[in-house]
Amino acid sequence: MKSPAHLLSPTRVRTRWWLATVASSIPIAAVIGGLMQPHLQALVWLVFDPTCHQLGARSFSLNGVQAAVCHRCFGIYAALPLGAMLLPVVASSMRRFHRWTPILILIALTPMGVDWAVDFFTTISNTPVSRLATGAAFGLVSGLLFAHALATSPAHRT
Amino acid sequence: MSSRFQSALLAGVAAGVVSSLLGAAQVPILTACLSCLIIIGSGALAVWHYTNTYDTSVTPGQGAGMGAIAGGVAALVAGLLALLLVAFGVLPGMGESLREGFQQGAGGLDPDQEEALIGFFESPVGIFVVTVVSALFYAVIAAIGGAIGANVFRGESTNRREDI
Repeated sequence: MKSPAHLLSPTRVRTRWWLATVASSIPIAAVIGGLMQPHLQALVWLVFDPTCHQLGARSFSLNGVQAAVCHRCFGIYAALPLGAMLLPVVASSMRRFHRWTPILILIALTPMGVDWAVDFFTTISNTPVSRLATGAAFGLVSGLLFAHALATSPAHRT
Repeated sequence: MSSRFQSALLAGVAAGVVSSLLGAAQVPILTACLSCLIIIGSGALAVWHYTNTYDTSVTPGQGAGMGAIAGGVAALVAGLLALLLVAFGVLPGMGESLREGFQQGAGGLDPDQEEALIGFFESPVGIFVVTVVSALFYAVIAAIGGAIGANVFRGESTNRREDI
């Protein structure tokens, strides 16, 4: 990966990219509850209780254990580290799109909003695939922007 | 207290209060989806408040730090308000939530073990553990919003300087 921020060495950019990838992997705990010990499952369930409806019909199960978050949040949290991992592949394009960050976020939020609104305001129901895919699109973009922001952050803004 | 910390504190309190009020409103899908975005957004809100108030900008690293503080504070505020709402009977307690989780397949434990776990998480120590772990998780999630927010929100003077 080239060093996009001329102030930083490639090693520092790589280290920060790794840190961003590791940090964005932490919420995955919400997704892999089925692989955890029961007391940890219960802890993760309670941690994500205020931020997700945790409805059985709208959540995946792993190992016969329902995930602590719904399909959409599952998509967001699972795609966050994937987005961060993508940075080396798209690093050169990211410099060009830097000024478009707000638009990119809006574009990433739109499918999620449309999918939710169609389900909430009309009689058409969304599906697990649509919820997962729209959540993953937002997670992927967020992870990528997060990793890019951290990897190329100068030490001080002047 | 530094002004960056103040902005993070303000955003965290706002996010915690709004998240709790939405939780109390009990509109299942609307409430939950918004709560998730509110935690991510609290980091961006902290950066927006700071850059807007002081007409300056922050590095994404500083934004992530501000977001982490905002997320942690949001978890603590939401935790405290949740205790109040549970006390007034507006929200179900942790034990109730966990019972629902066990009914939906979490744990795979026998009933005695489930009750022991529910008893632990309803105790002051259990509530403290859940609050601290929530603060850590929310800090990470909000840090993502903060870092992205640093790229989105910049003071007017910074934008003018960078346009030259």
